[in-house]
Amino acid sequence: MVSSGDHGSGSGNRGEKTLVIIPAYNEEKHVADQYREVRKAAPAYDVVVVNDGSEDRTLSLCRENGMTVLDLAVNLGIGGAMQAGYRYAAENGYGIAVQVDGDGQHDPAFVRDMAEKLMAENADMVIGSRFLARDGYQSTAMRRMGIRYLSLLIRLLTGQRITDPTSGFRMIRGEVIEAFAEDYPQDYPEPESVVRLLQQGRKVTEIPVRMRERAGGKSSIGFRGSVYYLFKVTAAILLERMRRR
Amino acid sequence: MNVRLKIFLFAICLLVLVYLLRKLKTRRADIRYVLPWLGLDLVLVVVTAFPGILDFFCALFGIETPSNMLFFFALLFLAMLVFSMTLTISRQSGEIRELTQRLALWEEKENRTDRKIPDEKKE
Repeated sequence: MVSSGDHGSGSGNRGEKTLVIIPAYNEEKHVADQYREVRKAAPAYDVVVVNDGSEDRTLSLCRENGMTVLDLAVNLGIGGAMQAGYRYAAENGYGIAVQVDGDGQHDPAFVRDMAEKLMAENADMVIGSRFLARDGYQSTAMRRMGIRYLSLLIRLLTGQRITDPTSGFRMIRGEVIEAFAEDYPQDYPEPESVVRLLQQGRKVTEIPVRMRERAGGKSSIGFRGSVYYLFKVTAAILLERMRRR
Repeated sequence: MNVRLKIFLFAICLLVLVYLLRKLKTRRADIRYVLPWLGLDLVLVVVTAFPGILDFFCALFGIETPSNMLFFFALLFLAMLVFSMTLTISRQSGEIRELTQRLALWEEKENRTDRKIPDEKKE
């Protein structure tokens, strides 16, 4: 991979084709607004919505508004939906791909900061962290504890400090897009994929972002399941650590 | 083993066999997934016919009573069968995922080319 030492030359992302992937499951209330916000914040980027087998009007809303849609016939969950997006990115020659959730939690205004960080640090992944600036929606106390724990676990295993490993607001590029198109963790893709990249010696970095409280839709993790969730993620992360040496 | 029990066990084995064959005939079950069950049925028929086999294996493995041995091996067999289903489910969910994603990408491509040449279609 060519190092991007040309900060001085101005044009932030050197004309690399960038794709914004919006995974959406039953997001009829927010997907259109989110799409418009993305267009406004980053007019040069292409946008694809991945309709993850929604049962509401998400798909027809996307079509009516002329959005590019990947329509998954059955619900695959966030891992399968994002993998579809990465496949699309890889097949259509995008050099950079960024995930922006369809529920309005991620503010597209930060997408360009992420691109700048990606280029400036020559990173493979940039994560939008809600904890670096401690600004905006900080999630519930219980969730924060869980995230702290995962952060610690990742630090113990890889030696890297990732403050918000569960954040879905993330940008990747190049070979990582192709690798994820081929094989993307399915169950707990956010922390798992971070560990996978760190494991492979790739560079993962974070920028501070402000997140909004989830306006619609539901977290993929319910209250009751959160302890079990942590247990399962731990197992998945340890497995990921075992797999690639 | 008295005759009454023997007849009872044979009857059960026969019923299971008929049930399995019917599922196969109506294509509600695939032969490759039904084969282990057919095998189990056959083993039960043989054991019922010649209970001495049980005693032989009991002595071989040092298990005290034939019933204990039966339970043990039944459990082992069922565990293997269930785990093989876990493997099948895992494989198939991967296949479904791949198919779903490919279909979505293909449809998107189709839509794109449709939009590009709307006039050709009218002619």
